Amino acid sequence: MIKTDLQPVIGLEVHAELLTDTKAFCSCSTNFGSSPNVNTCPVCLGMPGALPSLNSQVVELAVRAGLALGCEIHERSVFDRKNYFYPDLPKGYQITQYREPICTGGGVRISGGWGEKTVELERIHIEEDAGKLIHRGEKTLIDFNRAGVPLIEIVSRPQISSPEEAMEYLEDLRRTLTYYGISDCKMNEGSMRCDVNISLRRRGADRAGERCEIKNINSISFAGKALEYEIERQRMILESGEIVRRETRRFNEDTGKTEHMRYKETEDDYRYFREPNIPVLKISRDYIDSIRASMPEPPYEEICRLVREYGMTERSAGMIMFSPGIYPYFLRVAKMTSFRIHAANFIIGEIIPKDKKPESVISAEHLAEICDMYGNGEIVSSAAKTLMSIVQETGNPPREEAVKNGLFRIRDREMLMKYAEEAVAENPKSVSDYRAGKANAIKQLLGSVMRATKGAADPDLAEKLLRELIE
Amino acid sequence: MTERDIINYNVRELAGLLYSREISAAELTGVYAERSERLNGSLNAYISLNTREALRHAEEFDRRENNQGINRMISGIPYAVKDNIAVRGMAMTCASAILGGFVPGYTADVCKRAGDIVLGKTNLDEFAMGSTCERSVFGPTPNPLDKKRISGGSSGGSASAVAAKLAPWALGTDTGGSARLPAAYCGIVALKPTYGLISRYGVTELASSMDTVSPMTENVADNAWILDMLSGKSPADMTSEDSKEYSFPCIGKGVANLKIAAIDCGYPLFDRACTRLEKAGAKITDAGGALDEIFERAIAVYHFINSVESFSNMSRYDGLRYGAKGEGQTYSEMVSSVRDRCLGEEVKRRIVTGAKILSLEPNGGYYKRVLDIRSAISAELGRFMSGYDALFMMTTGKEAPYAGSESDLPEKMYFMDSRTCIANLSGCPEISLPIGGKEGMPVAGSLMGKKFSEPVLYRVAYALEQELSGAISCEVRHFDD
Repeated sequence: MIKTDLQPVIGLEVHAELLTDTKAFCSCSTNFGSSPNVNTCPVCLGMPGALPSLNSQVVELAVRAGLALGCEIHERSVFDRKNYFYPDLPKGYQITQYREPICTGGGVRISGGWGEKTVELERIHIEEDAGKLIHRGEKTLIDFNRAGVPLIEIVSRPQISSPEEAMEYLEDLRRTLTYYGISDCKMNEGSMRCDVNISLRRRGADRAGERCEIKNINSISFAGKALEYEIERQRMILESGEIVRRETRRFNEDTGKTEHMRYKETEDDYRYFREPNIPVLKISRDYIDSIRASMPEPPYEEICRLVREYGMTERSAGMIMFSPGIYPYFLRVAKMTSFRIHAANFIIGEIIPKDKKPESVISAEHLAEICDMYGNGEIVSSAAKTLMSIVQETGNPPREEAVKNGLFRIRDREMLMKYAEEAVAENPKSVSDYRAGKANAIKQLLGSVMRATKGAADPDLAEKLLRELIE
Repeated sequence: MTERDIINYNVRELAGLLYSREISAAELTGVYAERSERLNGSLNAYISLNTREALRHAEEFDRRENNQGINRMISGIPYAVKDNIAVRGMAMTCASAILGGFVPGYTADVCKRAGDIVLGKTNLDEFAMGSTCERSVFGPTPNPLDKKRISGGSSGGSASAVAAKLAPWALGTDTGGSARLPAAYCGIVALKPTYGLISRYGVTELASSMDTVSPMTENVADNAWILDMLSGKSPADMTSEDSKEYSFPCIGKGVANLKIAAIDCGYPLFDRACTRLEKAGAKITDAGGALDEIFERAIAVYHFINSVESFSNMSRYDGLRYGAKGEGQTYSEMVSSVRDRCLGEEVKRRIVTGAKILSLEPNGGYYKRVLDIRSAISAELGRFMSGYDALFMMTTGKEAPYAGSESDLPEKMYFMDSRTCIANLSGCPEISLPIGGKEGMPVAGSLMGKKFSEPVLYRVAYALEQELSGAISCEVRHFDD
């Protein structure tokens, strides 16, 4: 069959925004979703004389990525300027690493068609993101909040041979980058994007045909669909005896098709040259080793460890490990409290659903303190939740807030009795329901006591007192 | 004190008077402000004056209690700033129409260190691209000593302001000679410091790997004292570095046994300077044409690098975010229109040249070889300099040219930097100072040294100044308002 004679040759370029607090070359916030142009300054707006100053967190995360993906980390790397005009590019050039990237080599393991296979990496380099264009009818507006946000670009060798493999590659990369706290890889927010290069090669031929590049794909399933469409498109061209022209295309999410953007007869001329404002980046072996030492075990071993040592379920361990930004946070909390299982439960129940940077919900120190208080029986679980939301608002130490708001477990019989009497007086219907044999009505009365005490009442004792009162 | 009394004090004397409270910053600033307002019309040294704000800052300085040591008095002394250096709240034009209406919200590191009393922003060749101070959208700055002649560029406005005593001192920038050249033509002192010694944050980029900030003063000792205030590492400029040693405390150490290579023997004024240095104990070696070939290669390489880096640095001026606005239906129409309308001929020439150089071979291969030659020149110069403490030469071939005579052909103007640009190419420091006069106009010599050897250069320059001051004041005419 002719069909099987043509094999896809696929290479991926993945852009992942690094999980830094500030931009790559200035101290503006990297927060997603701020009002337009709020997170900008002379440096990221490209004003005259506003020089870049490299954020050390960027280097750390890029090294982390290199270690996680088994790359060679270079003690010397160099920043270059990629010169082109585009409205979202404030300086008229992008700071990137062209000739001497920070990492080369490495790979991503996928299952492949015939058992496991490794897709080798060409390189990982550091660069800055551009702003965002917002089209409103006739007008185009520019939001520079994203301009200068640090990225790593992970470039694979053209060793992927099917859409499924490409999707698996992306899935694996996303898991790895998320797990190690390198990027949150939220494709819908653009913090992970990919360009795919695809050509078809006749079986047995040593060279592939001309390739097409599909730019800026922002979901893993779109990457699969774009590739499927593109393989068919190129196959039809080749089978009809035509040749594929080298071009840049884009994926239309509505039609599921790729569309022509521009032909690319020659390499783009970006006039790269060294960025004179940033000295050669030199990192020592010791520095690389210290980052290696700070990294958790690879995911599978780590899940086993969590289950074994912390008594988590595999499901909880997985949620902690693969939710963006959560795992490093969990480890910080776990260092400060011995009640790690509580920490895991609070994170799963109260933090992950918020889908925010965990530190912006509650600091690791504060969460650890709440876990201690709960674990030691000083507060009950409902009070712990109340306390979390209070601390989240005020930012004050939990113990201080617990005192202020009277959240310590109320075990004092007399005091609880007062609350119980109030509850009974205020809820005659529940009382009569209970007396009429509806056992569940006691829960409503208990809820009322818990509310009145902001969740601080010892629930067992409270229930006992309520029963005594009614019966 | 009268105006005449005040303008005759040098910067360190003013610092002393401020410290002992014999004069207030407001009084001092008032005199210079009034003088600048009165004389700028005919001198065109300043693009914009900032006298009211300067006075307000001076009063603030006076109100501050006991302003610590005498060195902190620098921030009580008014000064002039070249208009390619950002000062928060003051329009910055770079002498270009494309920055029309741009008011930076940030202050250059160097001005944070020099203090708030900025008298005004001085004229320059557009984006510092030029050697005559004639290529400004605000018109040329003539030489205050002879208005038919040029002040030199690009920091002509700052040189003129100091020479005409519109400011006690001024900031310039020097990428290929832009401070030393006008200093030479106007009879003042300018240091092109070691690359990185003064933070470039807030200084408009020309060629980022060669840009430096220059103190421009009437005399050598003021220059050294001010350099010590301005220099040192800043977190905002990754290429900045600390000096190992302060300069000012060294100036009086004399020149006994310092080894100096002289390369312009045969010029009478130069020979006189060499003789005086020898008399003071320096060991002068006539190095003749030993460096001719390096200089020749340097000027070519310098212009390649300057064009490439300015091409890229100029890309930010697209009219979208600040400055003049473009017109048109599409982005590229808007960008082309504003750049076509608002950029001068020399700026466009460098942009086109730089873009072309980078595109000559794929992946910038050609340019990479240019950079290799740059390294080779630096290495060769380093080998030569290893045998000497300083290299002494003429700053320029001759005294200030007549207006319009040098800027008609770009090549002619480029060659004005032929002596000065090697210091920028190699990152080495160089100080230019007057060594005599011809037809009443100043003639200048330059001392170049190894990186961070400013203290040595100031020693030699100071000795030379002491030896020659009498002769110079007879030979060079004085600015007369």
